[in-house]
Amino acid sequence: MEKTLSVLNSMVQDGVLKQYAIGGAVAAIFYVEPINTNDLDVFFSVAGDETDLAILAPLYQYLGNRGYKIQGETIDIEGWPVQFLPAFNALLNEGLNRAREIEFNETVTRVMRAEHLVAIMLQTGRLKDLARVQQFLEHEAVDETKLRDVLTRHGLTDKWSAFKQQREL
Amino acid sequence: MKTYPDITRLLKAKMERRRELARLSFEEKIEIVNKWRELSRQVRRIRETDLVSTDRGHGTDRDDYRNTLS
Repeated sequence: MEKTLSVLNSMVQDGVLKQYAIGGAVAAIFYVEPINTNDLDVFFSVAGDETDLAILAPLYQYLGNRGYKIQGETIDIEGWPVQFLPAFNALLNEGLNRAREIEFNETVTRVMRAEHLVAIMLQTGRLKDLARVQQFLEHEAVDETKLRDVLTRHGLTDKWSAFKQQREL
Repeated sequence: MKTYPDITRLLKAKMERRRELARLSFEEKIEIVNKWRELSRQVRRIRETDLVSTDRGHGTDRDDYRNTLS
C-alpha cells in the first residue's frame, strides 16, 4: 500500500493529478474496523470543464509508461488495483478539497473525512453503503454537527432522516 | 413455550472485538485487509483449477489435475 501511495504522490508532483484523496472502503477502514475490499478508490479533481472519461487518458498514459497494467476498471499500482474517479459532483469535490492529510508509515497521503464519507455513502445509497454508514455510527466515527453541516449543504437531510427512521436511531 | 439461550454476552463481546479492530492503526488494519486479499486470491485460484479440472473430465481433485499436467 505504501508504494501505491508514493506513486499517487508522484502523480501530483509531476502534475498529472492536481490533487487526490482516498475514498471508498479503504478510507472507511481508516475510521472503522477493517473491511474486505479489493481496490483503492482515488478521487481526483478535474482542472477544466471536462465531462467525459477522456480525463483518465493522461493518468493511464503516465502509469502505463511506468509499467502499470490496466485491469478492467482499475489499474494495478504496486499490487493494489486503483480506481481513479473524477470528483463528479459538489459533494465529492468538497470531500476531496477538505480531505485530511495522514501518514501511512513514512508516506503522506490524503483521506476523505468521516463526515464526507458518510454523506457520500448516503448519497450513493447502495445497501453496502448504508451498512457502512451504520458502522461509522456504531464506532462513533463522525462528528454529528459537522455531518449535519455537510448534509445540509448538499441537500441530503431528507435522506439522513429516512436512514435514521429506518434504523430506528 | 420454548426458551432460547441468552446471547447478549456474546454479542457484547463481538462488538468489543470490532471496537478493538477499529482502534488499530491504519497500517495494521491494511495489513489485515492484505491477508484477506491473499486468501481471496488463493480461493479464486483453487476454484479456477477445480473448474478447469472438471471441464477436462478429471473430477474436482486438484492433486490429480496437477499430476495430469505434469
